[in-house]
Amino acid sequence: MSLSTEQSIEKVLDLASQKKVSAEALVIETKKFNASFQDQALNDYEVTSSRSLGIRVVDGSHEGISYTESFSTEDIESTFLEAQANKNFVTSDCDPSFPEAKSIVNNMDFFNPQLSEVPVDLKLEFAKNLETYAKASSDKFHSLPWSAYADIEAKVLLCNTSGTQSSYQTNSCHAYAYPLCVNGDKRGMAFAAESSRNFYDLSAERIAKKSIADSVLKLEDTKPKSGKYSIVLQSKSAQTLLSLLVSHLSLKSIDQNLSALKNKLNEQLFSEKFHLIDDATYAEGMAARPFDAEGTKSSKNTLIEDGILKSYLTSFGYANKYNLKNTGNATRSTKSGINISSTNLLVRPGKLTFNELVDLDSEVLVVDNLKGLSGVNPISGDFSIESEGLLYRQGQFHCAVSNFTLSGNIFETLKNIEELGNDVEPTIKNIYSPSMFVGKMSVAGA
Amino acid sequence: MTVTQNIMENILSAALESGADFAELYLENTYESDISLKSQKISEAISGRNLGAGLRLFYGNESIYTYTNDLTEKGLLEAAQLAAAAKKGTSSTSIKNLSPYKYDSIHKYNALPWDVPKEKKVSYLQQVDKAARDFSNEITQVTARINEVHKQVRIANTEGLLAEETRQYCYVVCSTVAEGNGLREYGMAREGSLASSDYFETLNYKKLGEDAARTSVVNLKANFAPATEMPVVIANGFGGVIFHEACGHGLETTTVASGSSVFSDKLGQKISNDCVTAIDDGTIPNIYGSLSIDDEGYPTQKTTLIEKGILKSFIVDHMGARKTGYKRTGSGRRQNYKFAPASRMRNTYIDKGDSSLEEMISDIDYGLFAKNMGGGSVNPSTGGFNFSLMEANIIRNGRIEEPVKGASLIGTGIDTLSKIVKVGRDLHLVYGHCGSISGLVPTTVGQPAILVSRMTVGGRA
Repeated sequence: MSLSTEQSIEKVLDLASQKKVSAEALVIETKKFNASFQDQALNDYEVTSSRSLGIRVVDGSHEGISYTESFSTEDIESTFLEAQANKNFVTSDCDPSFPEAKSIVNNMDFFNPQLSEVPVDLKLEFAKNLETYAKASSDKFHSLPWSAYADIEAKVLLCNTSGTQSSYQTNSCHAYAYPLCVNGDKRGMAFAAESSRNFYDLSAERIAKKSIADSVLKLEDTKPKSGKYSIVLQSKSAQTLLSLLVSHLSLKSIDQNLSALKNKLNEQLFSEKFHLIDDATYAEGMAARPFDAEGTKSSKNTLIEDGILKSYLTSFGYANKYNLKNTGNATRSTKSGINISSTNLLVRPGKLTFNELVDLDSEVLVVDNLKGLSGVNPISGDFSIESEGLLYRQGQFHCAVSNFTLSGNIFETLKNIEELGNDVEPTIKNIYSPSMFVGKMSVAGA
Repeated sequence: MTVTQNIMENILSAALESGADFAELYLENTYESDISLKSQKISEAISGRNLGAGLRLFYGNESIYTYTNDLTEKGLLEAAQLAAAAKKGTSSTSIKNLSPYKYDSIHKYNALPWDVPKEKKVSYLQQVDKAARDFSNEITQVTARINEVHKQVRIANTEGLLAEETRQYCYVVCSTVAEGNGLREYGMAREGSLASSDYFETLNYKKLGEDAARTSVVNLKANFAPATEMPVVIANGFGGVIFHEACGHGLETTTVASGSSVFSDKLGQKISNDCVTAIDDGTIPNIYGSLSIDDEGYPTQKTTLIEKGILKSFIVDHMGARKTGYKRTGSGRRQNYKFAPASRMRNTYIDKGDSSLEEMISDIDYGLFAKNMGGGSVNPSTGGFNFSLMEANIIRNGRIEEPVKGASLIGTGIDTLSKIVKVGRDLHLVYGHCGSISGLVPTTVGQPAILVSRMTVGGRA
């Protein structure tokens, strides 16, 4: 017989009491919807639900983790025993015990009940319209190989033997289009996406038109000559680049000697125009949450202020180890250990318009797509990434460029920010950044 | 798994009531164990079980998918009703009696993950750590991870298929950090197989640790690669990631069916030089991308994709076959029950040719030897692909010379295939993971050394 979520948590805490160990039960329940169309036929339709339980057993400095998707009494018992056995092998880098008990129940701040009520027919129509509008936007439209409307609803419950009994609900929806436009032998593709907690904030027409306009621009692309170019990282590319910074900001990475930012607190490492905040309370951000994976209440934290590294991302155990503030950035799924990561990352926008940014030099290469991140050295921060972009001369669009790499180093690039734009594009990465003029960088092309 | 054949039939019958012309039930029970070492101690030991069912309905060329991990008959029926509510079809197809598909597996497993004590696995990780640290005092951090998966899948469909397979996967990966002269560099080495726990006893942990350490130490002293186009010799083994990205993904019916792949209209055409024969083979015993049946219950196959430069076959799953009319190749794969299957590569490699590595190198005045590769990605609709270099050297006047670092190699699929001008004899396959629409699946890439006459090397200008 399958136990309810509440019964399963109770069972874990009972077992911990019997075995005289500390334990934490994390249950995540999710419901997902996803639909896409090709040639006006339903290409993909998924409606799913799942529930999983993660058990973390702590005994002194030892910590073991196990998980299950079966909620029978027997399987929960065996999962608990497995976590208990796993702890015998592990000596944690920091005190793995739980923060002081706090019970936070928040079912409304990051959950829009109206989103759960949107009729399936409307969602399907939205997904179909992505293709309809894309097709109508240009005679160069060939197909829409990648697109979707999707929404997700999650309930997170975290309880431990220290008395924490917290839970929250969250939901969000997003849609994207990545159409293929063709002109003779030339192929152009560009991605556009939006996300929200309100279905009616999304616009299939806006997404489709944006993606098609950008795709058509790329039809006349050329391969740039290798050399140094003045670079603007367009908002989406800046977001991608910033995702590479997150692991270096983690105090766990610092502790494990995997970050280049070790012993750099309060140093001027970046451009004085660069200001970065992590804000788990930013309700418009899809990564908002009332508490982190250890139960610490969420907060807003300045990480980089005027280019000075002011704070790492921390968790309870690591913050204690280094006598730093706990920023509440512990994260984990039911199937992983405690890690430290960002929530909603926000870069303070500048004052220049995009047109002013591309007029900062006589020739400016706007990188609007960093494609795949396999060419990133996670330790040194060096990167060489296949890219696409737009070449501007004297502030005017000259041509699209593709099939080149952009090479540099994440820390040097952020140090070289000369100007920031005022243009923060919609994101589905939970990173909100304007475009950045970053000076000269290496481009490998023809 | 406690889902009986009778329950499976009931679920499939319920699913067909919506007028679908086909229904498929995928049941999965997976145990996974993962142990990590960092800073010379065990930093994580995590294990657990994934248990769930995926249900897929076809209405002609349209597909509905749902999954649940409520495996009671009631839970599965609710999932079937949820899927069926999504669409009304006109088919009056009924379920055929389920008939177990019997086969002799060519893959042998001698032990179960829980048969081998974790203490033994911990000792393997400690050997890797010691080897890496002993290699050089410039090594300041070693991370090693040992992972095992025991996956049971059971697939039934309304055409009467009932097939099941148990698959076991093992891998060990080591990554290192070297520090010196104010620089920090990264290295990585890995081994993996479709195998049971006794596979771990066959590995050379000293070599694994040393290989990762060597990469990070070599790169510590290397200058950045140039930013230019030049001839590139790509080493055997994981060098095969070039074919995986440049061509393999573009042959999957996931993109071929919509006509958006650059290879969609190239079947039967010459797309590469005579020296290139490429194969996607799911039938090689006990290697990482192999199967007995795919995740649609279809027997997996050896598929010749390119023969002497001519495109011979695509990589075809069930829905891909419906949409294109091409015969299924046993390539319907998924990470787990949370993904609908899609056409995916298995063990994909360029077959051996008749050149030697020495010949290729000696013909080049100035070029690059790509010795050790990282991961890559591709957009199959434009053909643009990239993969990173972990270790490389400049070739000058026919000799391999100084090491260089920090570059990706990029190109477009059809253009790059036409520039493979020599293929070596030293075919070698290496395990890896491939991420795409149906999740992360175990694969193998491989090739002998090859010479690409011109590629963009994405170093520093």
